Amino acid sequence: MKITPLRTISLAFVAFVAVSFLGGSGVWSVLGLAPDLTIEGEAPIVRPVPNGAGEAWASYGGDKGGGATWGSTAYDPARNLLVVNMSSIGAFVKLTQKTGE
Amino acid sequence: MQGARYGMTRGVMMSPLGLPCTPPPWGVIAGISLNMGEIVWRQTIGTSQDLAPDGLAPKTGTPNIGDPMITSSGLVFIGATMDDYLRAFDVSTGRELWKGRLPAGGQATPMSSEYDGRQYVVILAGGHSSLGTKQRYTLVAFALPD
Repeated sequence: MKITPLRTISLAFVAFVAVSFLGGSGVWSVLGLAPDLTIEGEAPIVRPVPNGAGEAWASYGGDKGGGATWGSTAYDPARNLLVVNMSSIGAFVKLTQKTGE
Repeated sequence: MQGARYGMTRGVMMSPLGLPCTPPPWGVIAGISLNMGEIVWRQTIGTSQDLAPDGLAPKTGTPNIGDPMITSSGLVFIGATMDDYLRAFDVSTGRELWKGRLPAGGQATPMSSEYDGRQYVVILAGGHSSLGTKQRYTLVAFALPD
């Protein structure tokens, strides 16, 4: 089969559509064409209360967020640091609210 | 429910290749300093190893369900991802330090306990129907070598 510019362009187009269909928007992201899904906004930061010696754990790991959520937290009292599973849906809330301290 | 007029299902919207339809990263864990009120590190969790049929494993993160656990020594353990691993991160920097293969999805919160002078990290690897990870009834314990 003779390779012509028209055939080359057609094949490239078909390949691009096929790869985009099969690979989802990951392909668009690799090409730098995916939209930015970052959500600018504020989210309250609730300071967890570490469990002291002899106190009952009101929640596992001092997590007040509720365990059965899509994205939850754990608190490190030694560093006053909250580790957050920001999870999964491709959009991330930018945390901007200060703790007020 | 049989006979009901409406039903509900939830899951991750996937392309025919088995990858999520939103742009990566598909899963992120972050450390937030409560002294500064700022995100001090951010790290993708998971690869597409168990998603894409070709087994390629770029570090894209994956959709995930599960909570982290922090040890007093400064390690963050978390399963949660759609590739079947339990991972450990440095709580100060977010650097991934280790991962251990699980026999099924680790959509559960890990726990740690000491037994007979040895420290164990345990996770229930049961999988999750919404994520479509492998489902089994397995309890997996990791420990440092003697």
